[in-house]
Formats: sequence, structure tokens, C-alpha cells
Amino acid sequence: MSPETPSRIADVLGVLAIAGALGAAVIVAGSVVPWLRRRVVDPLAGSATTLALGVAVVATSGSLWFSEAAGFPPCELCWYQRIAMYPLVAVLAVAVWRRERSSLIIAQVLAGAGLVVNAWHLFIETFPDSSGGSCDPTNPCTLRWVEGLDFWTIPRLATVCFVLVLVLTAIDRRHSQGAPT
Amino acid sequence: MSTPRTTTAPNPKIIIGVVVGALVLAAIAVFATADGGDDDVSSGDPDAPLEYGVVTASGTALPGLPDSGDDPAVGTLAPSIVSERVDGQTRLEPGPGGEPTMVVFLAHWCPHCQAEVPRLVELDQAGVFDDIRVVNVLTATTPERDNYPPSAWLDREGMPGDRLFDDAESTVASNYGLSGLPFLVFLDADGQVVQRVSGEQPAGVIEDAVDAITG
Repeated sequence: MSPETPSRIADVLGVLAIAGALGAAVIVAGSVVPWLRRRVVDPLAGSATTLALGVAVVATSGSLWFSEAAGFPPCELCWYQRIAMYPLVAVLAVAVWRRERSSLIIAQVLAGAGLVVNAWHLFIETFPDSSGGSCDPTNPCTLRWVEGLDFWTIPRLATVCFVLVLVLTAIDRRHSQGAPT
Repeated sequence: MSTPRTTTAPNPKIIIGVVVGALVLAAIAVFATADGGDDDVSSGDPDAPLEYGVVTASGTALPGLPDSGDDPAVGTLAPSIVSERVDGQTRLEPGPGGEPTMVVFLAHWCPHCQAEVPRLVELDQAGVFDDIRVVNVLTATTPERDNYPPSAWLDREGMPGDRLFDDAESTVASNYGLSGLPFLVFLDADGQVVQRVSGEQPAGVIEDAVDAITG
């Protein structure tokens, strides 16, 4: 593998993250702008969980690639976010297969927990002095292994993934049918 | 009995459209960055020689520095270290009849080390280290991380003292019980540990420690 490969992969993921962030912003805006809701958000109903599954698959694959192929060991906070992200693949796969609203709630709890940890990771990555007065000599959480498009670090990519899973599953939860569980 | 709430059926056109859109974006990104060079902020100079030493340690390794309480290493003889490189060797051989020494463990990528070095340079310019030996141990060196190579960084900063290159296994760091970076070990003229501190230190703490090993 070329030494530039991780950076190139981060660039590609950065482009997808920009698209994902824009998509998430449109969906959130659609909750208050009726025109956007009718034209963009409502048509996603029923398909949003499948798209969330795709996001989780890409995030999990990317995470495994960075650690196992590129050789970037996950830091402590990365591990906590993995605990939230990896099961989303199975939970969302079940949600797509069974089309059950209860699976979406589990997915949202996982994504929400991951996003909380991710927020702290982003903070100490941006302000490394806030993580205390010393560095972990082996694998500090403040370290930026890659920066795709000069911006997209691995935690920033994860932010977009967690937010996308949250907003996409929210669409299908709102459009679920049948008796409440 | 209640029926589980179910989501509405997916629309294959939308899913295919989003997947195709993502693939097109990814393809554009691949082509657009194909000749874009390496923008990886954590990469160092790939042509620089690896800054590791061949380390030989002797004596008893110091225990790890505890988070709180008394340091069990205080009063014990620090281990001897010889680090060899193509361009020579650096020896750290604490023992009776030696000179008071401040051993500074630094990692090039560590933001707290980057903040500590200018403070040490200022103290040196104020003459605080005139009567002691300063040994900078360059440890946890990782070419893929930011601010590599470490010797160029210390040159830029004007960091005083000898340079001792740790090996890839951080043998010197583990022999001195390093717990965090930066890590400072103060040895008296007999080579005994007087104080060890981990993390960024204010100038006053360093001055007091230097007084303790020279006094």
C-alpha cells in the first residue's frame, strides 16, 4: 500500500461526508420547512432505514480499514464509538428486513450514545490542551492520523455518520404504521 | 394483542439513486485527488532517516510513576543507557562522581511536549541549566505522525542539551518508568533519582527541581 493511500481514502470519505452533511442539514431543515418536507423528506420515507444501513456499513468498513489495513490503532474514545457504530449494522439490517419500528429506536439510542462520545472526541481533538497536561505515550485521542481535504479527520467523519443515522431513522420512525409498541 | 408498528415499504428508485450518487461522488473524488499529493497532516518527511537509536540498557529499571502519592523511584540509582546511531552514540550513565542531570523525554507529535520545549529553552537562556547536564530523550517516535523528524523540531526550537534517540520499542522510556509526555527525571550527582514529573510543568517546578539536584 502506498503511504498516500490513507490520505486518498480520507479525501474520498471527506467528499461523501460533505454530501452526507448537506443531506442531513436538508432533512433537519425539512422538519420546519414544509416545502422541503414534501419534496425531499417525505419521499425518503420507507427508504431511509436502508440508507442509514448503508451509512453504518460504510462507517464500519472505513473504521476497520483504517485500523487493520492502514495500521492506525484506535484510541480509547474511538473504541467507545466503535461499540456504538458496529452493532448499528446488525440492528439496521434487522430493521430493514423486519420493518419494525422498535429496531429503529435501538438504532437511535446507539447512534445518540456514539454521538455524545464523538462530541467529546471532537472537542479534545480540536483543543488538545483540554485533555490534561500530558500525552498518552502510546495512542492519544488528540492525534489526527489523517485529514481528508485538509479537514476530515476520522472523528469528524464519524460525526456525519452518527448524525445521518439519527436523522434517517427519525424519518422512518415518524412514518411508521400500526399500533404503538 | 397489539400489532408491532412497521415502517413503510422502501422505494428502490430512491435507494438506487442515492447509491449511484454516492458512487459518482466517490469516483470524482478519486480522480480529483489522484495527483493531489499527500495532504496527510500527520505525515512527516518520508525521506528523512528514521530517528531511532540502538539502545543498550543496564541496571535496574525504575518503577512506573504513580498518579499520586510518593514516587518509589526517589533515592534509587537510575539505569544506564547507551544509544547508538550511525552518526555516533549518546551515553547516559548515572553513578557516583557524575553530574546533576535533567532527563527530558519528548515526543515530536505530542502537543504538550511542543508547549513545554519553549519553556525549557527560556529557562536555559536564563541560565537555569548552566550547572547541570540536559539529556533529551526522543521517544515514541513515529514517522507517520505530525512534526517528524524530532531532531529538526528541536533544532528549530533551539532546545539545549544532548540528544538520545530511543528505539522503536521505547526501551529508554520503559526503563525510566515513563507514564506520560513530556516526562522529566532529575538525577543528582550520584545518579540517584531526586524527582520525576509527568506532563507540562510550570517554570517554577523545574527551577525548584534543578535547585534540588545541584544544591
